[in-house]
Amino acid sequence: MEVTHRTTNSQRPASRLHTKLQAAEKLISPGSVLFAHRSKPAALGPTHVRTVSQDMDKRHPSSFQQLEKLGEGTYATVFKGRNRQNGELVALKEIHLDSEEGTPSTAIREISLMKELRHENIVALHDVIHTENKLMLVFEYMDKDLKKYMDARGQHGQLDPVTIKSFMQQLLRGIAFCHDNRVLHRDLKPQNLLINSKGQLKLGDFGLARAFGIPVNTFSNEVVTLWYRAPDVLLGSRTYNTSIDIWSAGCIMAEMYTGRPLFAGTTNDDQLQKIFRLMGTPSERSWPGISAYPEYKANFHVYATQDMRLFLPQVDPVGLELLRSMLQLRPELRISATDALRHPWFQDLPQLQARAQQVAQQQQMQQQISGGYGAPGVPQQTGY
Amino acid sequence: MITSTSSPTLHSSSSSSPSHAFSPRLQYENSYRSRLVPPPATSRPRSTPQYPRAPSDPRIPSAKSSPTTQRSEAAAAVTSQSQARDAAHLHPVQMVDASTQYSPRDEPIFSQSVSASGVAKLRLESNNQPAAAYPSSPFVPESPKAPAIVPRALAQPRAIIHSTNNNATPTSTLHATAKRSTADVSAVRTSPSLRPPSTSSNITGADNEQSAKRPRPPNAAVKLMPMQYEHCDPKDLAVLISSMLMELVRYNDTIPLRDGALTRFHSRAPPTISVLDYLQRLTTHATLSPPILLSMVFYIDRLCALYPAFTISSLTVHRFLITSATVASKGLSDSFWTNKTYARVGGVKLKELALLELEFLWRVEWRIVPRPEVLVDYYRSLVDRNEGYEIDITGKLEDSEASAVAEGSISASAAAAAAVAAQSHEVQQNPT
Repeated sequence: MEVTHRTTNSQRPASRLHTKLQAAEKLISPGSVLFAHRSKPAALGPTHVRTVSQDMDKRHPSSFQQLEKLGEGTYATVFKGRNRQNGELVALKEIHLDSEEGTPSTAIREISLMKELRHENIVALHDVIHTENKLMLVFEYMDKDLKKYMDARGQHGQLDPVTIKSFMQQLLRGIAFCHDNRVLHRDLKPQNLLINSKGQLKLGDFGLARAFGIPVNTFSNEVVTLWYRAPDVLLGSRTYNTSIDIWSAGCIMAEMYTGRPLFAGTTNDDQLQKIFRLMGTPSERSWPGISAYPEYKANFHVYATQDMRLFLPQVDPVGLELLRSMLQLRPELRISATDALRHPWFQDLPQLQARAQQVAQQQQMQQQISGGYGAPGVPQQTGY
Repeated sequence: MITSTSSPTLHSSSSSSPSHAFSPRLQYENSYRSRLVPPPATSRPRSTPQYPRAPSDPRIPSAKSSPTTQRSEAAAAVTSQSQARDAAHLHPVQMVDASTQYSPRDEPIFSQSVSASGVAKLRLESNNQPAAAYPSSPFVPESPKAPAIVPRALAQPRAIIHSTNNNATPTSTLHATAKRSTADVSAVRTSPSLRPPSTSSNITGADNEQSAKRPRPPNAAVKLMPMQYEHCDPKDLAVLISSMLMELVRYNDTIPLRDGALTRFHSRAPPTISVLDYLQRLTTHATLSPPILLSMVFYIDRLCALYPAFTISSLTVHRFLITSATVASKGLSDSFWTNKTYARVGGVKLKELALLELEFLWRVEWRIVPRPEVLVDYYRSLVDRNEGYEIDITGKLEDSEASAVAEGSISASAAAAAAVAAQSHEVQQNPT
């Protein structure tokens, strides 16, 4: 006699179970053993039950027309693609699978984290398609990354103040959402910020990201591209937190004003020196506990703190104040993304944007060309 | 065939970064094939788990690909470190050195001797077995000596078999825990000062394990587990988890397998290595930390909920464990081993592990990040349901007192201080 605890077939004697939900509850799993006498943790509820045949297998690479290559990353190649069904443009990130290493950990992280992060300032992962020897990640299409955008649009890479303020707000919103959902991005830089034709900015490339809610106390300090790496990480910290993303955001803000990276170091030490030259060399007095960092050297060249107005004359005073709070050397003094969004600097953004829009409309009327923020182009993208 | 796996060997890292110049790297020298093989009993205890790491890489902006080349070249020079090379080549950034991964203050220290003696028994058992019984199986075939786990006839379930299963399986569990208790005693003697406080009461704890399922006097000594699971000894957690798994297995084994409901996780016959021994083996040799272990428990619930054909049974539990350990480590931790190591430790082929890993990720819809509260809940429940274990409430009191004194101080350090105090107390008791 066959007992079918796992089907919904009502003819079977054992299955008085009418729904998948009930069937799943009946299944014996740790929840049922551990939480027999109380309610299960919410995450384990049978709400996760889907139909078995809900599939993945239906989705196939051929449902996307592969267009030109957009870029090549460390572990993947990104193509522009078109959904054959609805004509929608997508970015296809192809990840090669080899049986030696199985699924790359970067792919596991990127997919598992981006599935949880749905926000207008985070690039949407539509789908994951699996073929014999590769994974294909289907992302929403973005026109270009911030680096390309700056090169193409700004004068010498510099952007106008309204665009910068808008981008900073969107960047911080994306970061705040990540942090609220206990995710560190850990690789924020212009190349990983994607811009679409509507002037929207979204965070991409979560290959280095990780969840920080679970006390897996093994933090790598080889994170974040050197130029955007926070001083505490450069000093060898492995207990860093959300503040490292804020440092990167500060560097990006300055770069949008000047068109050049704020601290373009060549090595770990050089990077620290470039930071200290402008921000001043910290000491045990200005940063209690700094000498305990693994990379701390007592003989750091001592620089005085420079006035930010001198090296960033383009930034208005209120903006400088925000920038200063993001570029604090001591991680615990760095502003949080949520607090940064409440900074007075952002208060006049709606008015500024409305005015900019008016100007743009007038220009549009005059020139009869569609403008917006992004000029259509075929950029190379690395940020997916 | 018995290949003796050498003890983890320490290599100096090829890193150019000064802080890591002396970071050792752990390496399994011999390949591990079809048998679970114990490290020699003389293998030295690992005071700090070491991870393969990539050479340092400043990740210079807009030159993403060139560091990769450097990395693979640098790593290729170290020919013996093949799995490290693979890792460096593919996931350069996540592979970090372990020198600071587990600080002795917060983290339990793995003691080799536990698994060494535990697995040594396994080898003895395996020697008596016809290896050809299940040649294609990566696991050790079922022992004729241990009829406890009756292989389930795949397509023809019979009530008699189930009842046999029901009665017999607990015996095997007890057998396994008995082994473990011997191992524990030796572990405590080997390095009492290195053991985290929670394990110092191992001798009494081991007794409890043996009788965990029997009625026992209410005032018998219990093993205290720290409030925060990240401070507990992974080995204790492995005991708790495998006891829970065995309960699942016992129950689920009574449900006959429907024809065609085989999953990729199914073995043809139940592997001989007990769930406890297997999990201990993974915990030690794949350096699974408490959060990783608890995440694996979380994955059972997720996988069962999303994949109705899957249940934890004596046929699926081993493959489930090695797969979830691999996925959890790669997905949640910054330090993890290469698949080659996981395959070797778990006794599956590299190719199969790759398939299992992908199948697993698919089935759980790639959602492998548990909410932190869920893991806390699992930990509490695992401790609560096991009579021999209790959460150390005094640790909490001391903890809160300490943080009340030093306002805003990190609770972890307070807990560590409390732990040290508890440890000295426990060590004194041990000689009796």
